[in-house]
Amino acid sequence: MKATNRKTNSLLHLRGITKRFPGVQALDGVDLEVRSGEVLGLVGENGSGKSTLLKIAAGHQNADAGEIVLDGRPVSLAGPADALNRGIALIAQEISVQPQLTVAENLLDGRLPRRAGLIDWRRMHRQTEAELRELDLDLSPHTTVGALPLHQQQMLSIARVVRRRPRLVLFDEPTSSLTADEVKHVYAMIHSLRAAGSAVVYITHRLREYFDLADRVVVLRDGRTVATREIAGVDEQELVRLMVGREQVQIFQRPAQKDHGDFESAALRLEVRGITSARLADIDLDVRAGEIVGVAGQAGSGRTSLAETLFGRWPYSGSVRVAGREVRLSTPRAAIDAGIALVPEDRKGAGLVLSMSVHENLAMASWRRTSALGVRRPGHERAGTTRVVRDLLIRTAGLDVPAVTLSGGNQQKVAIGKWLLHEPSVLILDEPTRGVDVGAKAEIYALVEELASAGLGVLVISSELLEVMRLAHRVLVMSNGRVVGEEAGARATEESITRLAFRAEGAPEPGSLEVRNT
Amino acid sequence: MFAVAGLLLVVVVFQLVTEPNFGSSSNIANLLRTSAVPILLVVGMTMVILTGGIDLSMGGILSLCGIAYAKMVIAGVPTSLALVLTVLLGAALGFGVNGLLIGRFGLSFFVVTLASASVLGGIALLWSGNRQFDMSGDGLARALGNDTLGSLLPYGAIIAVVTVVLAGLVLRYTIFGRSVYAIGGNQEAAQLSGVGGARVIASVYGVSGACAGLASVMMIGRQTIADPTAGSSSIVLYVVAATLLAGVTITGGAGSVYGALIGTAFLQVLSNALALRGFNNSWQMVVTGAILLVAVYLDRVRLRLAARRG
Repeated sequence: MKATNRKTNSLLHLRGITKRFPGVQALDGVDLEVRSGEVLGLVGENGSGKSTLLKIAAGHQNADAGEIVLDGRPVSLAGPADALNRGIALIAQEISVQPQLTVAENLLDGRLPRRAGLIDWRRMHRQTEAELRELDLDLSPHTTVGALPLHQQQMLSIARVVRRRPRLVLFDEPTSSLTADEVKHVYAMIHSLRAAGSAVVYITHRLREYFDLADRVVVLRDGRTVATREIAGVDEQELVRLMVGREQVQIFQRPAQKDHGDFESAALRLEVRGITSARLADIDLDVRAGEIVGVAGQAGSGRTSLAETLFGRWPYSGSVRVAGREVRLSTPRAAIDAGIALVPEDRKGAGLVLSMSVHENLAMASWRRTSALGVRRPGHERAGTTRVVRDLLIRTAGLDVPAVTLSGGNQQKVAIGKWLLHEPSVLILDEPTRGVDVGAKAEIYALVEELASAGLGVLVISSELLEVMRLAHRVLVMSNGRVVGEEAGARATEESITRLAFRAEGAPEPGSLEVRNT
Repeated sequence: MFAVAGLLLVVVVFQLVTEPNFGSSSNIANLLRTSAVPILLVVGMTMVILTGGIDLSMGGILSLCGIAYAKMVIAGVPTSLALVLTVLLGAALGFGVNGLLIGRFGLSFFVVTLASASVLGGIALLWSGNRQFDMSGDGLARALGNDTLGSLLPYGAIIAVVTVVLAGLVLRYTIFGRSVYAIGGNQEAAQLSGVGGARVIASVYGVSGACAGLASVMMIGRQTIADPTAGSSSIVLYVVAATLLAGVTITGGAGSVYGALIGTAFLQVLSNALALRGFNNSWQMVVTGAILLVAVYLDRVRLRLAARRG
């Protein structure tokens, strides 16, 4: 045993890691071996279990079953602090800095130099300056971190981990909020970590970064390890195939009949003219009855702002017509009354009241329609919600169980289903299949198509390009709050959409392929 | 809720067996009489806590409404009209001050109701000249706060229970009621479904104020005086404790007004038992506070269990 460890230089070995969340098997017997001095790319689509695996490796979560072997000895991690003491550090997706404190305090992270028991500010700032120089970061130790732009906060949160020279650094999408220049900084930090003998596990939504950085890649799909490869032995297409799986390739197959439709003569459901707000600039947009319009773009491009503005959440200038009527979308209620429905991207935080029953959640959006003088009509309501549960194949133990007990896919069907009783003209779906398993994904796609052919105008916003290409008759590409391009759904490819988004941004990464943006 | 109901039963049986005075009709009438005011207040507090808020100003509204009622009656306003106006005043204070600031302007419910508790309580003291008013001649207040139907059933208790049932029906069968739960469960999701805007939030504070207004007149009837310090902070603490005791979650969205009724009954029976055994008011304060801690702890345990179950 010892001998093999020395030969492969195994630093950390996760064996048979299993983790279940309510309604989802996040990890199902995953094996992952990290060797000293290597950069290991962890590849997988949204919901494949990558982040959960890193959280378990860094002591942020406990596995239900499985073994963590560090330096050939099984260990149990008591928590993030314990993992850090053993040399394992996680740089999470969420930026973790204290916005109220200064750069120096954040960087030194509680280990402030003292004199006679009191904090020695002068020495602290000198020390920070030296360290920042070494890390090649152009920051002042005195700045309050909250005042820094997000990407600099992200650099700082990486720096405060890297400066401790951990033996294993787990990066979970460190570059998603960074500029091209800063991405190079992160690369440099990773190279120097590796040169010092540390190991790195790296997750990114830009596949190209795996080829820039990784020695090996491990591919996860639906909570299982499906492949381990030397990076030299794979190309991008192969990676995508491994990530997505044959089963899913089929789900993302565009139905052929989709491109025969012609919407020129169909009635206009939504006409947006010149919408401008704090985050949007001069958006024009038409959606016709039966049409599915996809909206793609990087995180922060204004995708979600567009959805929320059309749902009355933000002030705007410009005009909106729904089914031919001029409307003013000043509140969500005004938008609902105008005939717009939104299925928000944050299902648990905004789509459902998880503590309430499936019935209540389904009925909620149409309470005002189904009631008489503010008093509910239970029989009438139940007839409606029973029908929705049946039509949408919502798998639930009953109408009266809390929504929290449903799986992600079925919760999402409830979040969509509640609008069916309201009969809107326009349905906006923001990340309709985030955190949803494969089977439910296929059902949701079929449902969206069915709703469109029933005459709704549908707007699908998604960071999953495959999803947009699968569903949309027409794809709009957004960047910096503008619509920067449009492509017929049949012609859209990942490359063409990515090119449109990046060309507008002016970022020098034309070859980069954003496949997922978790 | 069932745990507390069971506990209530245990205490009642224990009292019946060991304390001959407990079952006497005068003690039962007294128990019901003293329960009326807290039950009314608990109804209002339940509505507010269900939305995820809390109304610390209930005591202030109670004090101010009591003084307003006394001033009106002394000035010659017919008592029934004064009663209606007092309830409306409570509703207006709750809706217009707390409700607007919290619901419309999005200020913290804690800060707003803490501040208005101080302001309203202060106004009550200023307006009364820091004096109590003798209201022993007021038949309506006495009927509400003291008199009984037959020898056992105080009118106040009847009104309180009717209020509980009414609130229970409203919470279950009206859009307003379900919006209260939806807001407490997830305010953002509720708003994105077009239910539970500022109006609903403002309204629960209005209901809370109205309950305090009605309770102020009952209190005058029971004590035969109008006291500008009637709504002390200990009564607010007591009401919060009673509300949380039997299953209304402090974070909102879960619980029922019937549970709150049982919680109140439990605290009432307990303090009645303590009083019969010769423990004074100070002991009752200690016990109430301790029970509040236990209730909040149990609430946490329950949430954690629910989270684990998924």
